[in-house]
Amino acid sequence: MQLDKKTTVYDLIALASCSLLGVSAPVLAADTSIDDWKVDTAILYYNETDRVSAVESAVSISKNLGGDKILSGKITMDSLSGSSHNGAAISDYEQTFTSPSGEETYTIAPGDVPLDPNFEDDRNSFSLQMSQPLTRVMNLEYGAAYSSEYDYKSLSVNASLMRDFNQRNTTLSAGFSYAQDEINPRDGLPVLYSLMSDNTKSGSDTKNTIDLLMGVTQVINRNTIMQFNYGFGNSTGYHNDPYKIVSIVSDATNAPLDYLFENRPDSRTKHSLYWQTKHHFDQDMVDFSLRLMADDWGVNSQTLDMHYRWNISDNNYLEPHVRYYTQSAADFYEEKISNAGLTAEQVATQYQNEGRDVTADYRLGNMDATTIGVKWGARLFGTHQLTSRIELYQQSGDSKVSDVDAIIFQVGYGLKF
Amino acid sequence: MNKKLGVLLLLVIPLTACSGLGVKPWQRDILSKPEMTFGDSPMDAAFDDHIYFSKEASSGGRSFSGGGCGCN
Repeated sequence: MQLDKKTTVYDLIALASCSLLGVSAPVLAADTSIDDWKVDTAILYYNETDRVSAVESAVSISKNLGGDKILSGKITMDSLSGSSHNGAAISDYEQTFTSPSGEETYTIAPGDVPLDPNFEDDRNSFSLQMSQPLTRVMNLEYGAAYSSEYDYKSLSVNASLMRDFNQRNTTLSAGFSYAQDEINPRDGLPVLYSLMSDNTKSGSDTKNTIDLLMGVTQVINRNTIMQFNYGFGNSTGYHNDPYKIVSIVSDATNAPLDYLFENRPDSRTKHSLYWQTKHHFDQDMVDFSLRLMADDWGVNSQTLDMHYRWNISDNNYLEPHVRYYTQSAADFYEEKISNAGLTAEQVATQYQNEGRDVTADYRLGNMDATTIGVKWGARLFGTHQLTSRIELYQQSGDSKVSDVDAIIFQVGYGLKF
Repeated sequence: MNKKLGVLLLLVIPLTACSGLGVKPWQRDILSKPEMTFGDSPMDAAFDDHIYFSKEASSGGRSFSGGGCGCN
C-alpha cells in the first residue's frame, strides 16, 4: 500500500515535470496506452553462394489479458535446400560419395569443396509464452516450444523470474530452459565408427539440454542502459551430425581411402558472458554487445555486435549493423585423418578402441565471420511498423571448405490494435 | 566463513555500486523509447539466432542457447 502511494506520487511528479518541459509523458503513456493485440510477421531469405538457400517465415501474436499478463504465440516455418559440405577434405583426386540414403552417389572434382547436393529440409516450430507480474516489482515468464523437421524433433520448456530494485533502475533475472531433442533420420543413424562404404545405419537417439541464464540490467543514466548475463548450458546425448564424414587419406599418396562418420563427445558444457549496452544520443542510438563463450570441447569464441540507429525522422530510421565473430577449433577437430600405413578399416577400429572423437565439420574448426548490413524501419498509420533489412554474411577458416558467402534479406510487418 | 563472506561481498558490492546509478521516474523519457528496450526486435533476433546457431559453434548469451533444430 505504501509502495502504491509512493509510486503514485512519482507518477504525478513525472507528469508534472513532463508538462512543464513540454514533452510527452512516457511513463504514464506507457501505462495507459497498452494495445491489447500485437501481431508481428516477417519473412527471411537466406542464400549462400553455391550452397544452401533458405526461406523462413514467422508470425507472432500476443495479447494483453489484462493486468499486464501477456500471452504470446509464434509459428515459424523454414524451407532449406541446396548443397552442404559433407565433412570430407578437398582432394587432388576425384571423390565419389554415397548420399545419406545410400541410394545415390555424387562425384566431386579434384580441388573442389565436397558438397552434398541433396540437402533439403523443412522445419515447423510453434511456441507459447506467458508473461505475468507477480508483484509490482516481480515478473514471471514461462513457455514451451516444439519444433519438427523430418529427421529432428525438439520440445522445450522455459521459465524466468525478474525482480526490479532501486526504483526500477536495476533488474535481476534468473531463468532456466530444458530441451529434449530426438534425432531420427529416415535411414537411421550411422553406426558409430562405421565407414561410408559400410553404409550401416540404424535407430534414433536423443539429446537433453539444460540452460541457466542469470542477468543484471542496469540503467546507467537518462541515456544509457546495460545488460550483463551469465549463461550455463549442459547437453547430454547424441551430438553428432549424422550426415557428416571425415576423410581417411593415404599418408603416402594423399588419396582418400574411405570416409569415417564423425563422432563427437556425448556431452557438452558451455559458459557464456554477455554484455550489451544501449546509448541514446537524444536523436540517434547505438547498441553494442560483446559475448564471450567457452565450452569443454575446447571451443572459445568472441562476438562483437554493433547497431547504429539513425532516426531520420519520427517515423523513419536507418540502422547499419556490423558483427564480428571468431572461434577456436574444438579439440577433436581434424580436417582429415592420415592413415599412418593402415587400411581405412584398421583406422576405424583404432578410433573405436581408443574411443576417440573426431569431426571435420568446419563449423567446429577455427573460424572468423563477419556480418555487414543495414535495416530500414518506418512507422505507418501510427501503430504499424514496416521493416526491411539486407545483410552480407561471410565466413572463413582453415581451408576453402569454410569460405561461405551469404546474403540475408528480410521484410517484416507489425501492428498493434 | 571467509569464503561465505567473499561470496556475500561479491553479491552486495555490485548492488551498492548500482544504487548510485540510474534515474528518477520522471527522467525516463529517453529510456522509454522502444529502441532502448532490450529485445526490441524479436523477429530479427530469432532469425539471427537460428542462422548463427546453424553456422557457428556458439549460441546463447543474450538468451538461452537451447537446441531446437538439427542444424548443428
